Amino acid sequence: MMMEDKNIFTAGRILAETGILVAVLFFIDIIVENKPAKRLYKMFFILDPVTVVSFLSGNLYLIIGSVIVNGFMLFNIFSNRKNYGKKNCLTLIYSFAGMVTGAYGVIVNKFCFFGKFENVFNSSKDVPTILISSIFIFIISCVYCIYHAFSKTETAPVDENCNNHSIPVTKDRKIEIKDIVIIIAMMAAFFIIGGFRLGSKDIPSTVYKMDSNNREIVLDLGENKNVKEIMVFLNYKSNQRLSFSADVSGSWDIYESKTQLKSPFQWNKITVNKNTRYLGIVCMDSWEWINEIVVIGDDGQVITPVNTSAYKELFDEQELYPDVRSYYYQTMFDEVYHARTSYEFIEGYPIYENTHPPLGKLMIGVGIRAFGMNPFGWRIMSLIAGTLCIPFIYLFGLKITGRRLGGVLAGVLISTEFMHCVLSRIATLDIFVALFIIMLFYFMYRYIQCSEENKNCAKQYIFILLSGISTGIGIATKWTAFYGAAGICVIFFITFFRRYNSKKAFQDNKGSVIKIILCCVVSFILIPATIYVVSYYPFMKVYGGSLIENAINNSKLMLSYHSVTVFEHPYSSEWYQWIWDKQSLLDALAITAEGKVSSVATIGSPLIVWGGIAAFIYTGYLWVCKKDRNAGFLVIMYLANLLPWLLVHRTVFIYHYYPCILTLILLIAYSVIKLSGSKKRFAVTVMVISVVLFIMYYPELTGLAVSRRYIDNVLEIVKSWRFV
Amino acid sequence: MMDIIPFLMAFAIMIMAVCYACFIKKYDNSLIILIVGIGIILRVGYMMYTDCIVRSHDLGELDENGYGHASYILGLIKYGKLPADNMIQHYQQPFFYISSSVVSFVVNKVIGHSDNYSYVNAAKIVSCFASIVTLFAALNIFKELKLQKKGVTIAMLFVAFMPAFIISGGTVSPDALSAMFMALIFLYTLRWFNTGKIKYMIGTAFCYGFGVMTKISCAALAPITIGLIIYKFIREKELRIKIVMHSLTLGVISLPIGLWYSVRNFIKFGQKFSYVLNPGEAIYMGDTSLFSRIFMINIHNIVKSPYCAPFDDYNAPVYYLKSALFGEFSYQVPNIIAVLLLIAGIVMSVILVTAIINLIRNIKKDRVTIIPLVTFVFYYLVSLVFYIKMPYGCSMDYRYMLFLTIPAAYIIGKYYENTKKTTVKVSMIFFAAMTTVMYLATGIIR
Repeated sequence: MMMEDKNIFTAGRILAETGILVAVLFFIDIIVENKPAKRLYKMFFILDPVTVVSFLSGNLYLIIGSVIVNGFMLFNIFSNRKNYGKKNCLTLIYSFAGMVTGAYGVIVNKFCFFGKFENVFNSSKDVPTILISSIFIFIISCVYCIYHAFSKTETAPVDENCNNHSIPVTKDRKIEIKDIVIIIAMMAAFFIIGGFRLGSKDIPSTVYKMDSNNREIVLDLGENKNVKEIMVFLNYKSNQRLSFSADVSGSWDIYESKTQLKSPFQWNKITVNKNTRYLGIVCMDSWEWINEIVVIGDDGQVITPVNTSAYKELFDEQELYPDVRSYYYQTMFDEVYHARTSYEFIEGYPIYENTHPPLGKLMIGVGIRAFGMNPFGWRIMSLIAGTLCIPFIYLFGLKITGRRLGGVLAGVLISTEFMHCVLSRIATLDIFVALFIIMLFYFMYRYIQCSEENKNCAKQYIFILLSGISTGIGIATKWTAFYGAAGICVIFFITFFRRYNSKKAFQDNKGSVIKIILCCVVSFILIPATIYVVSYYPFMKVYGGSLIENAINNSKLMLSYHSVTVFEHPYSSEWYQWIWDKQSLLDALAITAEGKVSSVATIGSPLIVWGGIAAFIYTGYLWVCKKDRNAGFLVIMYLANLLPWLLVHRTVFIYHYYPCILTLILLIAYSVIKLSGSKKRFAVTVMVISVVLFIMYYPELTGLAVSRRYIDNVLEIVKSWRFV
Repeated sequence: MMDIIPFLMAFAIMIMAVCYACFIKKYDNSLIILIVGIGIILRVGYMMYTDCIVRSHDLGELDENGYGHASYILGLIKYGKLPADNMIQHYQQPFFYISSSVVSFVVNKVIGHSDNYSYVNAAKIVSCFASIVTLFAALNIFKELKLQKKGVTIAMLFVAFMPAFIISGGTVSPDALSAMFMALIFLYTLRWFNTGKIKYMIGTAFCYGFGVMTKISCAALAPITIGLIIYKFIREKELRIKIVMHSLTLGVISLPIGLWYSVRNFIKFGQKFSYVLNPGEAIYMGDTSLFSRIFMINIHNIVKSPYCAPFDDYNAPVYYLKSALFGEFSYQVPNIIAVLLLIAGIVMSVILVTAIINLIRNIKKDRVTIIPLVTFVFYYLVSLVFYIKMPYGCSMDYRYMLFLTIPAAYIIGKYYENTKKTTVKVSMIFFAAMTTVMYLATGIIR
């Protein structure tokens, strides 16, 4: 029976292969008119061994590889259908041979050398030489094939404004009242939808302080009771050691000795499972602050000790213990570092999280000052930063495409982007730094636009200044803004040197060149350095010393920390996995009494991440082959935010890809507008898909409780996405 | 540990590239200036971010009482005397150590350091300087050999981005300095051959003297010089007396400078002139067949790892290739970078072989190519003979044959000049790009 199945399966594959082959030959027959060329091309596909091997092996990846090879070749033939010279055929042979060699190399590696793909980008001793070489040959052949396809068929006159690789631009399109109305509407919509159940304003707040004179807590339950667990809501201090014991038969049974409760502003669970009347808690370190303790019986009910008056602060907010300990009532993921440190800044306590510059945490602190030290308070500034991203993306889309539709498309895409939504609802630094990265690129684009249109100098200087300020704030928030700064540096120099590429041009504009250089020095060196140093004010307040001393010392510490920080984490991922959205990151998870799942996961929207790959390729093509300078700007922007991660070998996560995702939104918007021309249908379709996906995944982005079946059967479309 | 130097290198390279693309592209030789500039940045940058104890050879303890390169230098600085024995590395010719100790002493006086580590670390400056001078010497050699602009550009790309020069420029060992002297010997010999002026013969003589005083192997070029002298002697009958006098000058200057230390060691310790330290049985490769060591190209070894394994590898051609690209070391960089550089190296090797065949076929049309061709083949054979005589893993290290890069570069440059093949240009750019990426990444990921 098994054998029969296998035969049928093989026959099916051969049939499928034959069908594809016939289709390919038919296609060649239609598009190629020249008979010798037609014969040659057909011969390629008939003799293509990769197709045969891949289909006979039944390996999905090989089949996809084979389809890619054939796709490239057909694309080449199609592009060259009017040039059937000998050279074209030879080129086709070269690129075909290269692709086939590359594909065979991958097959040989798979079955003979066993080189692993994950070893391509690390420095393990098992070097997958064959795999790397094969992929390299394959890619080079594809590039050669594409290059040839476009270099031979390019007949359209090149736009005068686009006659070199300089950056950018589209003619400046004015912002109208309608644009402002759309922006405000989008911001309001996002603020409301993104702010839905952002976090509770009520969490335990009164503090019981344990120290060397007051080390012990003894809880009297009145009579022997079955205690299942104790929930401890910590104040800002974590990792202090506590010892938990129960009085069993007249002697203290220590069941958790020197336990470190790790999460501040979170309910930390200590399992008890004892029948006891007395529970003891001893502080093993110099001090600890606890906001609330809840004793849970084996029936799940809260047990109130009879001696609560002795520990008033520990039992005065029992009603705030939630039924489901979800993200809504406590810190989640890295909030345990950032929210806590923001609080420390406010209170002037010693600083715990010092592996990132302080400005982002100071911003989080604004929300805490306004709404208190509760989930809503520490998350609200992220939501505001996320909302502020929308106008910049809208305006970027508007300016770079020159059409309102471009702005609207970009605005809708960011408002419905998954990672944008999640990062706008969590008190971490990524949304802040992304906002400033997008700002620094936007202002640099505006500067170039103005300078190319020879608008007044003051406006140009203002844009440079704004870009510099954004750079400074970005770097003072998180060092990843350096990558963006490197990107604008490349763009600026390309544009600048293009403009003054001759001695005459330089001498004619000597004055303005010197002014711009001075303006850049002030904007990109002095101002960022000042912002960075001044942001260390909280450090100075706590540790003394000068601002510069604190900034330098902590920067050294950060550098050494980020150079060596490698640790195992189930949700860590590599940069190449981000590109196809392989690994999700679970920020919070809670199960309700009804078995529903409330989880928050950081992932990119498949439309943006996967569609972005196509948009990037298309935009790259526009830049290289059509000399489209806007496309060049976006490509550099994307690469500037991605390429540095190739060299980073610390443990990293998908949220590091977020600045790239913002760029992908612009790439998609630009590509869609370019491809659809004056028609709106394509752009509207993209927007609709994005909105539908957002609605589908909204529970997963906001922690809304849904059934497990919905997550398993609908949301986890990629095998490695884990939402539960 | 990550530091700022590789980023400064990248920034400097970027600025140079942008300046070239936008300002100086139109001027003559601007591309060569760019190539030399980037070559210098890579050498200086590598030297700065690499500690003397990292990727070092036979450095020994950082103590004047040891027997490695470090103790040789420290002994000179602290006692002002040459080693009292010829143990381990103390048998080596002294010029590198003398010049290193002088430079190191001055530098450390200026910066106010006086510890052993700082003294030894500063000695890299001499190697780096030598590696940079070799770049300029190579440029002049190519001009002397009448290579045209495009050919010089390609040849200079090969020399400037040859990783072995970058690595040796950041190492406390006499290899870079001896390569510099060999390049200068070749340059002055060519100049003398072309002009017949005594000043070039004196230059050759001093370079031989100091070269041999750096490393005995510099004398390996003597047959080339002698060959050219004999050729000139036979062809130019009216200048025979002058040539004899020039030859005598060469001997009178070079022999005492070059050999005094060998004579001293012979008298004091009975050390033979051709003495080479036995590297140890762990890397003995003499038990594998001569065919597999010399004539075969071990594909399996290429596939296995891009890096050399001095304790296992025995195949000379593959070892030459790998050690030219990575030295005898493994790196922390992503495998893809190392493998792509290896691919670039293989492509360059194939082009070099093709170029040699092409130039030999056209030798009658272009006789000037004979000198570099013969030099290349001769020096390559010398290296093989050395490996046959000393069948140890480290005998195949490309750092002993750094000079070979220069005739090889000329051959490739000439081939490109003759054929104008885009493949050569693209491959060379790929090679240069991968070398840059590799040695920037090496600085970043440590």
